[in-house]
Amino acid sequence: MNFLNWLVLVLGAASATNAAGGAIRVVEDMRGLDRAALAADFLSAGAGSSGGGSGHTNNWAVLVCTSRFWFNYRHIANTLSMYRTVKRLGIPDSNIILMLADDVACNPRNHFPATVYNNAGRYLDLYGSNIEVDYRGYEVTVENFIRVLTGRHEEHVPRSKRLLTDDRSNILIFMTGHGGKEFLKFQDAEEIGSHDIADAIAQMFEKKRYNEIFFMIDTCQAASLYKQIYSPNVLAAASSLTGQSSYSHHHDMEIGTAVIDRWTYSNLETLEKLERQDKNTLANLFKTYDSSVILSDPGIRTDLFPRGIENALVTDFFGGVQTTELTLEMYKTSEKQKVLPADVKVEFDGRLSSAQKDTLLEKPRYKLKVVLPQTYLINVPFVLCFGLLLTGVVVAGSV
Amino acid sequence: MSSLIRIQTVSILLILVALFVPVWWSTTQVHRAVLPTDQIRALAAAEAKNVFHTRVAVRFVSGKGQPKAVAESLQTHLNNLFGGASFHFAVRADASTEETQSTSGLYQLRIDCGVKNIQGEGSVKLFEDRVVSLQTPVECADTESIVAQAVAVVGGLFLDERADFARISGSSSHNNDDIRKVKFAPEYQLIFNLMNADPVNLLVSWDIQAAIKDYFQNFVDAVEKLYDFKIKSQTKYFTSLPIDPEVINAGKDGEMVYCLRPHHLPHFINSAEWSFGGSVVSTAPPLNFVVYVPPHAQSPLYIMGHDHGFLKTNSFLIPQWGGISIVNPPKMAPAVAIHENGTTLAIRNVPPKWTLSSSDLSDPMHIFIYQMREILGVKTVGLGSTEQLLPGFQFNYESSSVGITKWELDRLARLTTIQNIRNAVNTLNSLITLIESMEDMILGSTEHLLSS
Repeated sequence: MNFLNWLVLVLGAASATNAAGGAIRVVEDMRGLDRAALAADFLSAGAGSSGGGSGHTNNWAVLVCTSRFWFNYRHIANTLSMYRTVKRLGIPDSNIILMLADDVACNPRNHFPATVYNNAGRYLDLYGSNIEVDYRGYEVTVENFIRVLTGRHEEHVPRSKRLLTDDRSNILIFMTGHGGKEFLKFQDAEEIGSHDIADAIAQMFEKKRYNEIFFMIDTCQAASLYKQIYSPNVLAAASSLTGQSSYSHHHDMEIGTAVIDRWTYSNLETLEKLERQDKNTLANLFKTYDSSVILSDPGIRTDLFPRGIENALVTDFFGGVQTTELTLEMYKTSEKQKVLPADVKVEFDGRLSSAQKDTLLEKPRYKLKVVLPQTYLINVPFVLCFGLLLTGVVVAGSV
Repeated sequence: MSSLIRIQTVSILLILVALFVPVWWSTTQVHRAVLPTDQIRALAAAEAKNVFHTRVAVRFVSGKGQPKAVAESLQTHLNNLFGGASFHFAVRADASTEETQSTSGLYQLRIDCGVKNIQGEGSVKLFEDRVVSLQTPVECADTESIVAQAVAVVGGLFLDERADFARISGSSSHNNDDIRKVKFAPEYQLIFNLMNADPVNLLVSWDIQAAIKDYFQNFVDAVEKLYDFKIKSQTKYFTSLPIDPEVINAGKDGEMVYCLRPHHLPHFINSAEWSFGGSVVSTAPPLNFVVYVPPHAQSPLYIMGHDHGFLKTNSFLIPQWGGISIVNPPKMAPAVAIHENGTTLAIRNVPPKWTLSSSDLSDPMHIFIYQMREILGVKTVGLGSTEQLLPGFQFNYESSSVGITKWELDRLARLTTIQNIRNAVNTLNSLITLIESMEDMILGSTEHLLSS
């Protein structure tokens, strides 16, 4: 009886509004069919891929080898190994910026021309037939690297040389070469400093050019290079700490140089076992580092990465995420027909990160650290005192 | 003597120091040009006051009724409803019965009063060409009720948009529409790809130029004020999938059917091997539409939906990238080629040729138009709110013959404008923040920028 009463009430109310007819109810925020809300309901029910989704919709990789000359073969091999890994895990060439400072595959000293190997057994040719090098030879300069990161190019620069990220892009930045305390050597002619890298990343943050960055660096004293970064959502890993050198792994007797570095080799041992849908986290990757084998202590910087390395999947940075949406209808243009805007259920597949979790969207905005201009060594008080000193000397001397 | 020389020396030194210290100071300063910082900061506040001036022309079809009174009352009520946010309406009465040219921002409301449909209620029809017609059983003399219904109709058409604008100007919450929609660019490269996975057993070719002319060209022309499209096409061979489809024993004769489930689809594109070109030089973003012909060993290939039924369209969309449609080849016997080889006749099997004519491509093209609308962010203009306010009314919508109605085009243009304004203001503000944070960065002369 209770239910019947309730039903009568509801029907009565409905018919009352019908009878009200022409009265206007000014309803302020009435929305039409909200497909987004439908989809959100659908997704939050089914999307539990990983706790703490990263919120990215595309992946980019910037792979930089800064060393020139034949004996730095291993740095090219490092970079090409990473290139192969990210391509295998799903990042397309259009989303990879590959910068190689020298061409060792076609170097006349290369015993195996047109190939680059990263191990002495020569199992895998990294150069292959399907490689796209965006910046090669002398185009790899500090200026070009910073232009790539900040996106400030001249007009004539083609699309393949630009980093066209948006604020939902995860970027993997891998740099290798010869470095020292707070610098990295480019081409034996110039250096990039840790402050330059930090400022470039700050510019990227201001222009909303990234969602998260994973900054990997394989040089000597590599940890000093990420020390100055101050923008949020940056995770950094380095092959050695300040004061330590990084070492190469092994030589190939026929090629005549070392073919891979230890830290990159250690990373590759884990990465080669992964497939596209892998759920391993970066914490797992970092746990595989063994200082006694790498012969240096890898450095990891997580203070700017609030999501936490236990929640970040390896494929968040190394793989290419691709959401898809089933198309359920078509738009017939040839006939004019009565078409009602149907409430099409929008269905997303793949690992769509939890863009609907509003709590994660309010990322804390860090205040930019203001870099004070370096006080000049020679300034007004100094000059005045120096002047006084001079006069004093003159006075004393002429006595 | 020595004391005089001493005094002279010291005084000369002091004079020199006093003269040249300011010279040194001014020549080693960091030169920073003056930027209109306050104006830029004020832009963000001014953004909220952006208003679209929309004009509505009211006309009574039968000639009875009072169009002027209706128009005035309608204008007052609409501006009250929107409260000056996002839209400002100017309603006028249109006495002439001739058709006026449809222009952007001018909408026509045709009222047919005193007409009942079968159920005794009225109907609303949204025509393609910026016209909405309201057929109401209310008498023509009853201005108030007519105005009430007109407000429901016209207001309902624009309320969704106002909600959109509020969402954009507010916090940057990302919903699925934002993920799907490609970022605005004045020029796009539109690339149609035909992927033939197994050319050894079947050679596929298509008459894409005719198909584009028949189906797509009208759409491209309709949106030409907003976007410029460079259309290209290419055919790729030996494009095998990086995933293995499932085999299902469906079909009437128990034939083997291959299917892809939704969780396979993110890995459909073999990004290592398939290079979707587009020009590497041009900075126009590419949109790719793919017709995929599966190999004989994997055909017929269907996509399974979430409800475990095969999709009628056999297509899916990759947000911000493009769309893919799977077209299953017919079973064709290999052709036989006979040719002279010196003195002997050589007979060999040649793969059969299958040509997709323009009418064969009509289904994929219609799907691509639908996907293109999704990617560009075309939102259907509907009367959802009105349906709730006018129960019992019948609602009809006329679909467009080119792929986008003028209502939707206007809505897209307004949305794009608001988004671009927001992006520009954000960029300028972030630049100012950046420049202010780096105090020892040289800012060159900005005269050549300010004058442009």
